[in-house]
Amino acid sequence: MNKDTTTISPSSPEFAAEVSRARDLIERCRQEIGRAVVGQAAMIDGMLMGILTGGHVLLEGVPGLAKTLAITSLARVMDASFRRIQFTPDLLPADLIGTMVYRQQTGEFMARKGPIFSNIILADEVNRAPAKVQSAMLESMQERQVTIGETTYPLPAPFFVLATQNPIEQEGTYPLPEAQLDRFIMKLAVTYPSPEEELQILKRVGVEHDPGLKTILFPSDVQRLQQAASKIQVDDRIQEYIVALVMSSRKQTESRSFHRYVEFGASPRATIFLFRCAKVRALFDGRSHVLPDDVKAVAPSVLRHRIIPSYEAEAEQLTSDDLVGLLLSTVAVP
Amino acid sequence: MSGAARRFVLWLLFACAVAPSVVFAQSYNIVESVRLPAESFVGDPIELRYRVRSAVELEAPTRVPEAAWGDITSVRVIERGDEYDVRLIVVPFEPGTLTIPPIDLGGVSLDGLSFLVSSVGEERAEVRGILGPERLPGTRLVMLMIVLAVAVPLLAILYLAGPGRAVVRRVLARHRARVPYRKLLRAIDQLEKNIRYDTARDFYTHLVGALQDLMTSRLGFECRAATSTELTSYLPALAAQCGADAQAAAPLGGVFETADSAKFAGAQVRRKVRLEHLRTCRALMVELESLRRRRRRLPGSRTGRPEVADAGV
Repeated sequence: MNKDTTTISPSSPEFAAEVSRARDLIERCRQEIGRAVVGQAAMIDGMLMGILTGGHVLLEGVPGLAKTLAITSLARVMDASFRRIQFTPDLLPADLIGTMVYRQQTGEFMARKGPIFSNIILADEVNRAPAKVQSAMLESMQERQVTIGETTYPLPAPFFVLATQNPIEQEGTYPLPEAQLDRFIMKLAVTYPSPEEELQILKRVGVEHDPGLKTILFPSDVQRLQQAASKIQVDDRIQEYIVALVMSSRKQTESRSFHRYVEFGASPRATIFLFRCAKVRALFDGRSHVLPDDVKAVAPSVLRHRIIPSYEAEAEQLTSDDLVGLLLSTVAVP
Repeated sequence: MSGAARRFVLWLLFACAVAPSVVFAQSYNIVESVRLPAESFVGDPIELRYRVRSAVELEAPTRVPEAAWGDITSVRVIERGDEYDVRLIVVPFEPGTLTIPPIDLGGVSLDGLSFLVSSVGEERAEVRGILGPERLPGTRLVMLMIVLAVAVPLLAILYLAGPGRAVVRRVLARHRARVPYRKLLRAIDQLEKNIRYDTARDFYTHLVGALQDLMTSRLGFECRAATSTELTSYLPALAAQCGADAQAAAPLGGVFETADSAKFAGAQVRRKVRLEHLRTCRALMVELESLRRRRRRLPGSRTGRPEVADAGV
């Protein structure tokens, strides 16, 4: 890959070649992770997209869908430090971010960094910890720095949090408030594998073995991929389309038939994240420009936790995904 | 009875029979009668003049007598020395010899006067009854137009509310279905005309927009909200809806792909390629439209729109 991508024009052949190389690299990552995880391509793409956009991803799925395996595999492929934090009701913010400990030998307090000081964090069952722990983690996600005692420590780059939620067993949980949910760039819905995939899982991991994943993405590569993604060309009309999508999800704009099902529409963060994710999706496809297809492809993951269904929608058993579907089928594509 | 007595009875009977005629014998003589005109026909006013010599003074009747055969419009009496002119104006409505009813002229009653009326029609034709008044020219036309102005909208409303509803709907639906097709052809013509001046971006924006409108109309869901990839995936359904082979509309996929490059990547598309795309679109759409119309004409072919499994709507 080119060392200095900032001097390349987005419409130049050099940039097209760089995009092509980026696509190949991402494809190799996918294939490598695919050696450990069968199927779940959308989840893996979502995680990669989260890393390349500099965002964090919320994952919702029942237990046993290879969420942990996928993220650990990603960490291995990326040559990144990885920590798994199991969120429980008795977890404290200090358990997460670290605390000041007294060192008897020197008679001083020194900072002991918590597990959040890693490149990749798996915040497992994030809704099982109390609000103050969730808040500490979400603040770190946003600020990319942690203050312990009187000293502020930057978090390592890349820094990526994959938080998981279990859609069942809601008893005794602390559901993330909408404002906290909004901080996640995407919410991925993990579904069961197909029968073919499940058979393949059985054949592959029926006998425990280490797939021996190779490191493909280095932190410098991640940085270059991020730079390439940021230079992907987005036409004005695509930007207007993104804004139209987000605006249409809100009730205060022109009335649409599905608005009665919407309690709250998407925030301006959704506009920004749709824009970023669409760019990364174009990079995945090896394109130097964004198409409406890219926006539509990422819209469900970006919008599903930002559009709150109304009571009427719940009465008619319509989910956020249904509302996003209605939204996408209504707003005219440029 | 003796002969004398019998003679007396006979004399008495004779006297009884003759006496009234002697007592009431005409005390006038009609010395001259004139009719103007000499020959008259049914409906003509006729003046009848009678020169009457009378011992008693005559005077005009206070009331004009009525006749069954027509009208007696006036009766005048003009004194001329010891004679009188009695002038009647009559309008007969019957042919033949008509008798004037008795006219009371004071001391004398004119009676038994008659006159002849000719007819231009058949001799024995029945006289028609009196017709009503004639209308102004054009009255019937105006009345007819008023009746039509009231009846036609009323009938139209009744028809549209009842059996005509389905027919009207069908006609309107057919018309509406043709609108996007005509619009597309017009857009193609316009794009061909302006191909030198339009940028590739504007060119494909208009072309794809017109195609999206047509597909929305044919497939029954909002294709304006569909991306090029989605539109390409709907092409087999579009072809099937017209009764064509599923791959018949596939060349449009290439148009959509080029359109994306032109619209969102700023790709320059040569005029030759654009013209080729216009020709492809026109030829395909004309063919599909003719197939669709032919299919509609077939009995029992009015089926609903095809299912699009992956329409996402």
